[in-house]
Amino acid sequence: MVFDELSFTTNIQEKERLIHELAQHPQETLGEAMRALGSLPKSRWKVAAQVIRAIGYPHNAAALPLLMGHISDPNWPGWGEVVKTLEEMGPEVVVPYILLDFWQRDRVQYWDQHIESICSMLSQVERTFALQCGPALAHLLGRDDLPPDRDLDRSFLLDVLEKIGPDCAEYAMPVLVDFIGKEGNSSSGMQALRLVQSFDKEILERYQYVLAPLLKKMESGGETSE
Amino acid sequence: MIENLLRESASLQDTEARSQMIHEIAKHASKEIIGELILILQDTQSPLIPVALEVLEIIGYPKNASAIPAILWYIDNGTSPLFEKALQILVAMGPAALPNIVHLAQENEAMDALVINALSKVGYYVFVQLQEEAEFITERVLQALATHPEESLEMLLYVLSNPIKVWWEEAVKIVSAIGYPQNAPAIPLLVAHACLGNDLAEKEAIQSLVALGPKIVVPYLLEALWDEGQTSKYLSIKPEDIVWLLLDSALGPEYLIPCGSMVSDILLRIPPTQPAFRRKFLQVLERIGPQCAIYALPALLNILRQERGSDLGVQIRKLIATFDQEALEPYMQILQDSSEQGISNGV
Repeated sequence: MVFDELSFTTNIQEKERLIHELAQHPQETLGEAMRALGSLPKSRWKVAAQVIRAIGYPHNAAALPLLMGHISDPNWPGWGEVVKTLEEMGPEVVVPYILLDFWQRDRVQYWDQHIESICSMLSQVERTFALQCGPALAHLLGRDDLPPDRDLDRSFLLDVLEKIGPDCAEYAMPVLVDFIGKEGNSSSGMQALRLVQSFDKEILERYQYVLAPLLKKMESGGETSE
Repeated sequence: MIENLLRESASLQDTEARSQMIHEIAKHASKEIIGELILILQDTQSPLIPVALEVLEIIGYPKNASAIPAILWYIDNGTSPLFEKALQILVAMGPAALPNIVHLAQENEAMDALVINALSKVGYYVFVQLQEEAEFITERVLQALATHPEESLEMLLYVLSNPIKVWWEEAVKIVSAIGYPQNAPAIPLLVAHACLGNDLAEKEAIQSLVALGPKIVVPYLLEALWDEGQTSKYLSIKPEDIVWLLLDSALGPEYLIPCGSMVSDILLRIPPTQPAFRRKFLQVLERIGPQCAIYALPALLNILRQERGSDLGVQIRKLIATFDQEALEPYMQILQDSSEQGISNGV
């Protein structure tokens, strides 16, 4: 009930005051906020997320799985608030849940869309999140059994690796060269190539003979040189 | 006309007069005359073959280059003394003739087979027979090859890429003696010979790779792993051959560690039906130890799903248990989830 009222309150100051007040009593409020966020109508989601955020970690820890489920669609009301809440919980708390979702393809509804959204979140939040998710993300990018590009746009995954930058070179290089080889001159292929080219000289020299034919292939417009 | 002159010189009893006449014929040898000499060599029953070979020897390289196929034929098929004479002509041509011989081999299959056979016989003669009887000649041949890399390297590549086994050990030594960066085109073949197994050149090849050092060699090892035996550049050796090299040879951790990420990537793609290969690749990660956690953990957890309760699963769990807590923390939910499914007991 209180969430219905809050979601229609136009007085911002009053709204903030009420949210703050609700957050002072997490034991009574958290369950209700979670119910509001986990069910329709959508109009309550944003304010429910604001309350959960205001409660703060560790008091709002029970909401973590629900918040993870709520990042599946950046268009949902309260998505930005959920992302901020997760960011404030910190990578050491949230990253294990993110990696679990990478793993649970068969247990997460609309998994491909969910992964894209997680990547959008990782591109926005503090870099430590991306750093800790990097190896698992690179592993995901290298999997042969991923949904097709139209369902899971690889550029979302690459955006996160770009955010990590040269620090991902050691673990991402084999996956990226394989990806470039398969993608050729597509926009994702070019994005992966730009990322590789940003890596340190030492690692580029190590992979020089693997990269050389790929670069040649891309320069010739994707036609195989073999 | 040349036949008459050859016949006349062959009939001369006075060796000095005979030699003078042969020199005279060689001195005035035109393209046409060389062509006629080759025709004589092609008639294997001709009594003029020994004298024709003598003339060709004096004509010298590169003027007698067109006779190389015929000379190779006599090395491959000739018996003493024609074999020795043909070999003598070839040796006298020197390293400069080697690129020419390789190009001939590339012309067609028949010529390729002839070159392989002839070089095998040359190798046996120089490295086995002469080594026992006249080691200094062998040494001279090796030195000549090592000091003319621009001419000899192409043939060394050819020798190391073909079943001319009697040459392999020496060829690797020469490649090594040529030194880096001149010998760079031969490094893929050194890698291949280092892991072919039962290869005469194996020990030499490994020593050469050690001498080159990890900075030069590791990029080739990665390329060979990546190539997966699909091209002839590395003589179609498989990633498991490279893994054997990394694990069982004198190549130290400075070669092994930089290959870890690629090994982990390939391990993931080995089907469960090949547990022996999976185990071998896993050994590389075990050898690297906790340092491999950052790139290997996702792959290991993935394989663990397929290897519930198997020996390999146990082996993976043991490896994961050695990883630092910091590396494991991001995967805690997965490990817990796996544990609930009975996958990761002991991690």
